[in-house]
Amino acid sequence: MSDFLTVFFGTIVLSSMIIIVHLKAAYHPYHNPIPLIISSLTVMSAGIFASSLVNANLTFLESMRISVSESIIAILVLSPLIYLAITIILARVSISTRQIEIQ
Amino acid sequence: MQWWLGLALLISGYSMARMGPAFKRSKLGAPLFLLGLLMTLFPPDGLLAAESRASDEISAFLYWMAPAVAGFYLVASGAPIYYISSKLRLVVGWVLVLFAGYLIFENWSPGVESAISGIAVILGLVTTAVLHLIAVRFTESISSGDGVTKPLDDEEIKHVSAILSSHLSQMEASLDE
Repeated sequence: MSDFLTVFFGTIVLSSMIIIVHLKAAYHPYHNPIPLIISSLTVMSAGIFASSLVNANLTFLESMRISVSESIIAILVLSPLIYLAITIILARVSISTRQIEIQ
Repeated sequence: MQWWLGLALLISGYSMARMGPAFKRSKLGAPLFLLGLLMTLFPPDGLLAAESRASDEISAFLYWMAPAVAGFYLVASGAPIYYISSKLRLVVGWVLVLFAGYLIFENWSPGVESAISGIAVILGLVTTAVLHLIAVRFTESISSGDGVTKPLDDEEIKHVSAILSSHLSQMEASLDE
């Protein structure tokens, strides 16, 4: 159960981090990212706190590093399913009865 | 620290590249992404065991992801759009996609632990997405908005019409060929 919770909270921390980095990197003057950054920071902090409760023998920083790393590993293990989904979509897109060839 | 900075650069590069040509920053996207990838693939000593395993998993992931992404791009660009397709791109793309599939299923051996971790990941992603959507709705509810957009003036109508007729005539010419 602790592994499950570590990956669960790690995914919450990781996805909040991705949202924050994305909002910062893709900032433009027509968007106000501050409320979303605050909400993501809150969710991320709650995730780190919950993760440190699961791994009580570790510091906050160690707990965050381990839970996010475990989450990355779990996402990469799942990635062949994403490959499969994209392949099915592209197979459907590739099939068409009326086509005009170009060089 | 370098490994985490690499991850942050990976995400930043992807986000910047997605901004499109309207923003000059988008040109920095690909170099930042590659720099982040290199920093992630060649980490310094002192990583925790979980971080080392994650770094190794990223390397193994790239092994099949590189041909898969190239194949997806070629298939998507060669697939029929308005009944026009490129057979060469489709064939080369599908060869790469199937090669990537071969690499995956040669090495992929998910077990019960992986399935449990996968469920945890999906639940984590859904939880974050729901919380993020609530935050977006809240942000939109407190913004006043700019009201109704004014209709186009005569100059703008001429400009848009010229662009549309130019595109339509180009499309008709390519269909005639």
